[in-house]
Amino acid sequence: MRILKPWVPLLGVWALTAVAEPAPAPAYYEADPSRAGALVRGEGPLPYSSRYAPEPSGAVLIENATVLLGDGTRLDEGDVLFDAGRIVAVGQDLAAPAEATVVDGTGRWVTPGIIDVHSHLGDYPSPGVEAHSDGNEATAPVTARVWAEHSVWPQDPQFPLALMGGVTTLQILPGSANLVGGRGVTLKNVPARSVMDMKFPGAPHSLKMACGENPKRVYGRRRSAPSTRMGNVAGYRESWIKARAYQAKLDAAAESGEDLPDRDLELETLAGVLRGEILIHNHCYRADEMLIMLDIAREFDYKITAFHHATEAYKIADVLAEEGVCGALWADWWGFKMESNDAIEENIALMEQAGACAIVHSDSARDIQRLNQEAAKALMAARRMGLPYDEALAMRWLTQNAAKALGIEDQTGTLAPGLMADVVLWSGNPFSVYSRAERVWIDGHLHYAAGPDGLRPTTDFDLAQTPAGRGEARQ
Amino acid sequence: MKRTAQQLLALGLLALAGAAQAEVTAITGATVHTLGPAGTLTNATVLVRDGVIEAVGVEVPVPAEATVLDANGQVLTPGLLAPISNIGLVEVSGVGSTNDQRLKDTPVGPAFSVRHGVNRFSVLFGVARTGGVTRALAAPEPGPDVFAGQGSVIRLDGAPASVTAPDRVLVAALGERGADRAGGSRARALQSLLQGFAEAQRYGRSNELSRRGLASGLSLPYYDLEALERALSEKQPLWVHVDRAADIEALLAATETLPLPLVIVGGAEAWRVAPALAAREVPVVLDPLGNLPESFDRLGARLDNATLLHEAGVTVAFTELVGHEVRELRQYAGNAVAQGLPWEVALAAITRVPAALWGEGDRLGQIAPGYRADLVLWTGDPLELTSWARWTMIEGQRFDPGSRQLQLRDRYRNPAQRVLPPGG
Repeated sequence: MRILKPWVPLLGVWALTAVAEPAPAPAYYEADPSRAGALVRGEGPLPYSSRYAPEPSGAVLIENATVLLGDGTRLDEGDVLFDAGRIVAVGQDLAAPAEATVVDGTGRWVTPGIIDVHSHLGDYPSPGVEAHSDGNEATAPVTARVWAEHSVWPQDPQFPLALMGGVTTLQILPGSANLVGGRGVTLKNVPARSVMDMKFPGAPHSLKMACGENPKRVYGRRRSAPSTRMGNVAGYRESWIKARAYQAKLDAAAESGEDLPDRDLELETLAGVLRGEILIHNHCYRADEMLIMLDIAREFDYKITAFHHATEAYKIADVLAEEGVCGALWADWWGFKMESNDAIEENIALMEQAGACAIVHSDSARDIQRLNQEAAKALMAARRMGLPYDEALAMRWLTQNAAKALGIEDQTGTLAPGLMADVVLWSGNPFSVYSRAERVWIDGHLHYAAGPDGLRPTTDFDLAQTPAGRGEARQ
Repeated sequence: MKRTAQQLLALGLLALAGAAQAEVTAITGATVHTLGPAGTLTNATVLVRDGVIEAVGVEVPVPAEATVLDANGQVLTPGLLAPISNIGLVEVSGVGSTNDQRLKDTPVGPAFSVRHGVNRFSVLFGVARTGGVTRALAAPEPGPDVFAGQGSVIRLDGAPASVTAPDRVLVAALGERGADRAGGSRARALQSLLQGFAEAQRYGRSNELSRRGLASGLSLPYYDLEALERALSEKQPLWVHVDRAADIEALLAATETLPLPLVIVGGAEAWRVAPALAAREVPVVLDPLGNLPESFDRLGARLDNATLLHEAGVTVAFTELVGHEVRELRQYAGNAVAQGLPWEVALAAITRVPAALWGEGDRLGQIAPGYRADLVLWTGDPLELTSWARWTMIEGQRFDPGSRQLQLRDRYRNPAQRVLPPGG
């Protein structure tokens, strides 16, 4: 049982805005509850907040396609209607509004946009030169103060390639060098001048934590802590002790109206986790370590949203199901280090079998272009062991479950009416190696269309030095 | 050493037993992609005797002594071949003590042979076989020298003689990778490569007596000179890691008189120089998924590289993979098809072509009489990721899916049980 105190907005800040009368807009306001005590000058959007504005879009009706709704269901010979950026209906023989774009879906498949919960695009862009290496603030084992979004280079040529693979939403995480790596951010995969123009509206921040070999290797080699797994655990616990103390001060100040404690970027982030506002995405391979992380979460009363990589999730699939912790998993990566040595192709299948939340993730600028194929491998492994899983179910690993782990399942991840019209039209069964995304809509706006007269975003970097359509199928 | 009569008798009996127990297997009712002149046959029979394919066809009589494997119409292909890998040389990539693929600072270049480091008991072999992969080139990774060393063809059945073609190809690295090994400039990397062959030619022309004196004036030690000399005299294939189009052009221009057959490994920008590669008949072992401009050597990378090369008349094979990933070969081939490569050409790129590039084209990579019985029966289209291998055969020995990974799967089918079942 977790008890979270609702966090009271800062009375002091409200008082300041009141003094600023008769300004047409507040001269000062609090930017974000997770940044306790922030005083922000001027009008306009909150600092670092989403400035994503969907491109204008009209009505689109895709007719007579095989539709995987992303929630485990399937509709054959189905129509999908979206308008003004939102899903309107999925059904049969839907009527097209007067000025709707009608797309023939015969022989084609429609799915929600794919969501990758583990990416470093923009933080580790191509070309992967040292000047571009912005994903690990490997200067201290706990860097909860850094935000992955502040490294994102929107001109990373990898973003449009992921789009051509049907990825409409992705979470950018710091790397795994640190015990606590920093905040992650969820983005819409759209061309932009700034990361703020990509930020998924309303998506919670996340916090990247890492178990195991990476932190202890990075710091152990420098003869500093941590150098062992027990050192790792001590590091997490010490951080949470500080965070608990900081949150207690915030609570006390809110209660008494007294001065807030000094701002502290590190503790603001950690306290945000304790308040349930920031979701933990925990890089952790081994079953035994995941179980210890769950104990730490119990000690300090926070929730782990997902274990990432979790190559041994299958060994504790029952526990993860019981605790409601997702596993963001690869289909078949293994053997690249000791903690990935027990990876099996059935990891996702066995999580599904246990009723746990299984997600196919990439952690790769290559595989993010083909997450549908990674899911196909997981489906193969399930069927090979006799589990009766189908495409409709497997699509959840790429959409609904991923949206759940990012805290955006009420906005995207399925084709339910009212959700964002993040939609992919595939040339065929997306679990076939021969199928390709033909069209990709984000909030109802067509961002990618295959073919010689197609539409594909090009980054600044691509101009005059990379071939057009490098990621495109020749069909 | 004298053999006793008893020993001789025992040997004779063993030989007789071998003859009497000729292993004959007939795979019947298969859709056979022969990868040879016979093309694709439906409802065909493949007859295997003592590890070698004896007959393939729709009207092949099945001998009475044959073990019959009914394919039930499923798809039979040659075993998949990993054209260049580190399988058998690396157990856990991040654990240095299990990595015998590369030298750190020992100054051995062309003479470095990985064949003595191949571990036939590697758990990777079972994983590879379960994925339909039967053989690989176990190759050195470029170390401190532009010459990485010698690659050997290995079989993945775990049999004692796992190295079937030792030191078959000579591996080198140019471009960005070569520059790191040649003082920082890719120009010097190519020079070093040429200089090595020039010195080996001088060394080879000199007689025994003058060699010692000569060697002291050359930049390479005698063992490397001898390795290069052998490469020149045996026309050993030279496999060069190189991606940038300009570097490929420079390599082609500089090696016009070199008597070795060239193979490009990587070739991310090879499509840009496809006519030159076709004219010189230089094949490319490429990565059909490698479209990221992840280095300045690969800015021109694109997904349809294989198709463009094939259309220009260049032979392609797929792809360089670490040992853990060789089972993904068919995904690479399948994606090449999605990019316009004919299906048969894509399947050849992971079967017949690697065999030919290894100089094993007359015994591996096809389902034809006289070829080794390396076969895989698939539940469907082998390039589809939702298909899997029902069994994999290497030199006539059939392997059902089986690996340490599958044992882990079976142990944790029901993870909540307190006492885990024993392994198989």
